[in-house]
Amino acid sequence: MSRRKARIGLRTRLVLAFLLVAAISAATTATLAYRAARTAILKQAQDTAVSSLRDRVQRLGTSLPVETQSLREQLLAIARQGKPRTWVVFAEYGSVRVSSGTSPVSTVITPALREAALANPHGAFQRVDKGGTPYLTVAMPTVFRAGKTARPTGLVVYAVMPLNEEEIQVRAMVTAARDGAFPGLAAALVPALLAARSVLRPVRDLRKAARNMGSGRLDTRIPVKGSDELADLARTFNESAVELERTVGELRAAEARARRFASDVSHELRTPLAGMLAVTEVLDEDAARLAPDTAAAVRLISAETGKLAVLVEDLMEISRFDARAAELNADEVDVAQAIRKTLTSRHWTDPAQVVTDLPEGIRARLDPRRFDVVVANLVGNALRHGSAPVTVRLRTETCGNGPTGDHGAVRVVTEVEDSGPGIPADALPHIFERFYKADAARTRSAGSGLGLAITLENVRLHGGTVRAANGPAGGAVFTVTIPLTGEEATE
Amino acid sequence: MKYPCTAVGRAVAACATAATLLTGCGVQKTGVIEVGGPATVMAADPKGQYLLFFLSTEERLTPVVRFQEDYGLPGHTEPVDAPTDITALFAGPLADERAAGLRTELPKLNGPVGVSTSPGKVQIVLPLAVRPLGKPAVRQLVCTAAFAQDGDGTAEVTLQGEDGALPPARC
Repeated sequence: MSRRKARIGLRTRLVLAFLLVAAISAATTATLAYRAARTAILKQAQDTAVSSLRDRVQRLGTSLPVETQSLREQLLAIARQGKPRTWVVFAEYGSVRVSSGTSPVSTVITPALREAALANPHGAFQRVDKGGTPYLTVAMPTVFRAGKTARPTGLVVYAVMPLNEEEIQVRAMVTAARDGAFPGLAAALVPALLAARSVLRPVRDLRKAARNMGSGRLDTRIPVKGSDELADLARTFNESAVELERTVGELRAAEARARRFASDVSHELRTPLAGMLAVTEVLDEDAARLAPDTAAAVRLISAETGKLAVLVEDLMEISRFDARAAELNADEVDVAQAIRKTLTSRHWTDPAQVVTDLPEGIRARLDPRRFDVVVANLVGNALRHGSAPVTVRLRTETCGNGPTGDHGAVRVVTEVEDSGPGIPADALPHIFERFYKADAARTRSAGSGLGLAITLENVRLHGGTVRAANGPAGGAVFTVTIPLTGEEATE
Repeated sequence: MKYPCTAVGRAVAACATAATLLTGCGVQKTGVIEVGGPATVMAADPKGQYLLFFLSTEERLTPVVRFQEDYGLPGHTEPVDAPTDITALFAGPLADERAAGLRTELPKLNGPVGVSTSPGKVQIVLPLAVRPLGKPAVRQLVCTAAFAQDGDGTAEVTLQGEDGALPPARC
């Protein structure tokens, strides 16, 4: 039902409604006109026939009882003077039957007409259909004047006239009405289409505008024409669009302020931290010569300052992503080599710690610095939160029908799997959120809490995806998929 | 499934009705319709003529005209001789009248007919019993006698027979 409803569009419905109205009015008009005209045509024929028959019969001279021979001659004369057309005249008196035609008795005249003519001295007519031909039969009883009264003579004169011509005229009207209706309907199609257009154009504009709004162009407005309901709708749409644009603008401004604040704070912290780091290095060197308590305090300050510096660096990095200031400096690199370099520079070379499965010869367009951050974050995380050994696997895959819809695109897949207990199921959906702690009890962590968020942003910048899951052996598996062609992020 | 039925069905019904209205009629037949009066013909001149009423095949009272000459009387005497008229009626229709399908229901007469008139009234004395006479026969007699009395046929007629009199009647 709803499918059908959807298929009959607004245009079709409007056009159908127009045509229906046109058809009904044409049919009604044609029917009424036809009936009036038919009545007029027939009435004229009947009245003429009755009055002219009366006229002719009144000139009849007859003896009583009638004299057959002279009556027949007079009937022939009347037959020739038929109006509106020639007719056949019959006379009946007692058992005498005389006619102007070949048969003395008519087969068309009904018993009802005979009965009426004899019982009631009045002129009468009846339309009869005999073998598909309509006939007009007129009965004219005769009376004679006897003193002051008139008495029926018993002689009744009948006239029988075929209504062929009237039938043809009536049929011609039907044909004319029918032939006129179709051009009329065709003509009605033009205003129907125009009306449909005038309704559909604003609707189409509205749909386009709504789609533009949906795709983020909040400055979309509709030209308002006229003052009808559709114009009202357009006006309301525009007002809503203004309101929406204002609200969204305010939200965006607030968000931008918040981000700028975070970015400013990290910038401001950077300079004093640099000084503090220099001081703690000196203190670290001298710690051995200090009292044990003091040395422990100094080392603690030094370690925390280092963490603070990492946090500030991460904050600044994520601020750059938020401000869309992060740039991809893509270069064609050997992915296995890049991963090995990352592991070596972090001193993760112990096979008990990190196991690698890195086939040679996979080259992709990557930003080496950002890819290094991604791999280092994932492996560091695995070592910190999971447990050794951590397996790093590299492979390529050809996706038939990827989420981005690019058929046959080749992707580089980097998997980092640890041997720990895995990530709790309730934490999985939030693992890439900023400062999200998978273990609520562990308030202090070695990392900044931004590592995975930065990883996600970096992978996205490459146009790829990163997924967290638990492997079959129970350890957490992070899978990074990056297109081989190193396409720029579409954001 | 109701939706398409109503919209499309309504349109189809309207078109069908229109088509029927347009095509389903030519010249329709009618019943008997009376228009205007009858035709008045010149048939009888009251002067010197007798109007006798016989019965047609449909039991209808039908007048015939006889001239005084037919009875061997001099023409154009006024008024017509009523006893002669009644006697002629009892004699029955002539050959040409019988040929036209006219007949009588009166019995043969075996005696003279007495007629007494006063203005607007006629009394006929018949030498037979009047009560057994049928209704058509009585009407024949009444009308013939009334037209014999005056040209209008409006006189009141009393039939007197051997078995008494019938109530006065008009033609």
